[in-house]
Amino acid sequence: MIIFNLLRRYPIIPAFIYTVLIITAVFAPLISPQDPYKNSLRDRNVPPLGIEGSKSEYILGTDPIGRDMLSRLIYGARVSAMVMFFSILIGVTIGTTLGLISGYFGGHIDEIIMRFVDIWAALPFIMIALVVVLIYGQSFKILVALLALMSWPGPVRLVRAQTLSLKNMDYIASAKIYGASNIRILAKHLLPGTWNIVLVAATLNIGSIILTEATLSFLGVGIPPPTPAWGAMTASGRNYLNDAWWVAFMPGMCIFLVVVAGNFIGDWLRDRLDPSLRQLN
Amino acid sequence: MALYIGKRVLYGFIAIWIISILSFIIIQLPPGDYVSSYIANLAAQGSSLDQAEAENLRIFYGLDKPWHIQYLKWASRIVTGDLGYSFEWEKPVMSVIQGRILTTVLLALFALVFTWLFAIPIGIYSAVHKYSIGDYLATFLGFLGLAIPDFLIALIAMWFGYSIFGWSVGGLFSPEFGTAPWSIAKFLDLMKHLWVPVIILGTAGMAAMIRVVRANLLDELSKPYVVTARAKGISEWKLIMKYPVRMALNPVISMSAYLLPYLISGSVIVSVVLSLPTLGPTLLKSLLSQDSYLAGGIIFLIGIFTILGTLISDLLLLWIDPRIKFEAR
Repeated sequence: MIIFNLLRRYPIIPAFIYTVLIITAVFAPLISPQDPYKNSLRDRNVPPLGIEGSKSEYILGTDPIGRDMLSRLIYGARVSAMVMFFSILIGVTIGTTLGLISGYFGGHIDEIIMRFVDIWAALPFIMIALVVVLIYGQSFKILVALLALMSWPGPVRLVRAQTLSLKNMDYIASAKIYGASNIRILAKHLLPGTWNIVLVAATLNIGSIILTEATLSFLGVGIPPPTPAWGAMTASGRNYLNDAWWVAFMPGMCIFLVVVAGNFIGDWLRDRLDPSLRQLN
Repeated sequence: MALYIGKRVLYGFIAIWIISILSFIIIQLPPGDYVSSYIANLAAQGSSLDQAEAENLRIFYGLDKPWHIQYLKWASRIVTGDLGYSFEWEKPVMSVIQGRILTTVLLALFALVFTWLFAIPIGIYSAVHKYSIGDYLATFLGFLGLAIPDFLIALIAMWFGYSIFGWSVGGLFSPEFGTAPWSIAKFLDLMKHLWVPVIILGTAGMAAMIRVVRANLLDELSKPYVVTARAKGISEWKLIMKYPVRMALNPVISMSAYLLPYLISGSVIVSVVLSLPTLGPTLLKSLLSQDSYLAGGIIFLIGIFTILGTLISDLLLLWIDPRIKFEAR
């Protein structure tokens, strides 16, 4: 019962999943048992250990061209973590800046930025990503740029709300009386007050970023092959569902776990750090 | 009120105009034009096209004019319902996508209705029975729907359908109805196939909607008027349904407008996996082969659906929430 209560109060399992993700991402070359690019035509679709026909060197089996699943999953974690890190960094930086400006200056600037956020959030994003990738080609940079462009509106809303409530406080007024410039007030006095919110906004974005990356990779417009990406790995198992379910299932499970864990951590952080946004009453 | 509706419709038209420009930019963006990719295709097959013939083709398709003239030509034809000519299919864009428009709209609409049908009652239940096992279960299932990628659910559905029930999940029509004209039998056949993609698409938006309904209803339930009503002895069912639920449903309506582009985007993926005859796979193919008028036309249509969805949800809000009428005066 104590354990259950702990699990309910703190996101222990999600935090564990993320620790594992980060460790595997950082130390992928050390952990992975085999070369993720080495294929072996004799060992196609070898099942994971414990299923008839498995081989001891392939713990989680192999994919349709005989590459080790476990090693590819580990390197896939690296790709996902990198995509996640860079696109959230860029997206949240843009979002925070615009949110601060929008909340602090108000008026027409606020109106324009918020209208733009509304329109942006209503765009069918996957379609746009498809068009852009088909025109400019597949690359890691373009994918990160696209995901960053997808993820900035959320932070704008959250940071703006926080800025609105901070800017009427006395310490901002006294900074103004002392003659501090707008930029100084924004950077020195308002930005530190929004760190909590920025962190919440960043974690809340994790899930959708991973999902979108996986979807684009699944459609063949994400990370260029042969770099292992979970979405593309799932896609490669599409035609083998009946004889080799693990090819699609295992990377799919990885995506699922990371997204669920990200959502849980995001919700928990929000409830913790920002009572005003609390949804769980 | 007429002014309010008029304003909304006007905004809609402005948005459609912007979308038409965007679609045209997409048509123009790829390097080269249709003729150059046509020549490349011919070269790949071993034959060639001389310079003069290529120029003739360009003039024939109007590709030699500056882009704003091309846009005006394209836009003025759109008004009459002519989306241009698909180079690859060698017939008008309209006749290529005609059959697919209805299936796309039906898929998105049914997915939306499915989301409503399940998310609203579950959300209400979750709020009224806060912190019960049912509430946790609903939250958990919602999370599952949110976190499993659409394509994975589609694959799982295909796998289950095939290995357990022996169905081939995929497509929207049985073979005998594929090209048949619309009839009641064909519609029924469509319904038989449509529910799988509808469920797959609907699950993703459901979690978000359950949480919105739950959070809003919880806010309402703690307000004094609910306490007053309860003190007066109104039955619990009537008490919850008559006022707090009505209040809590407003954001659901405005959220649906945001859900629509998301559903249409999502339908691309599900359609590709399950090979459904919707606009999604056609769009993908047309972008790959630089069939610019077809791609631009589809993007334009999808844009219009989105705007229409927003407009309809605005009008629904007007009908459901009288306060907007007062503000609009």
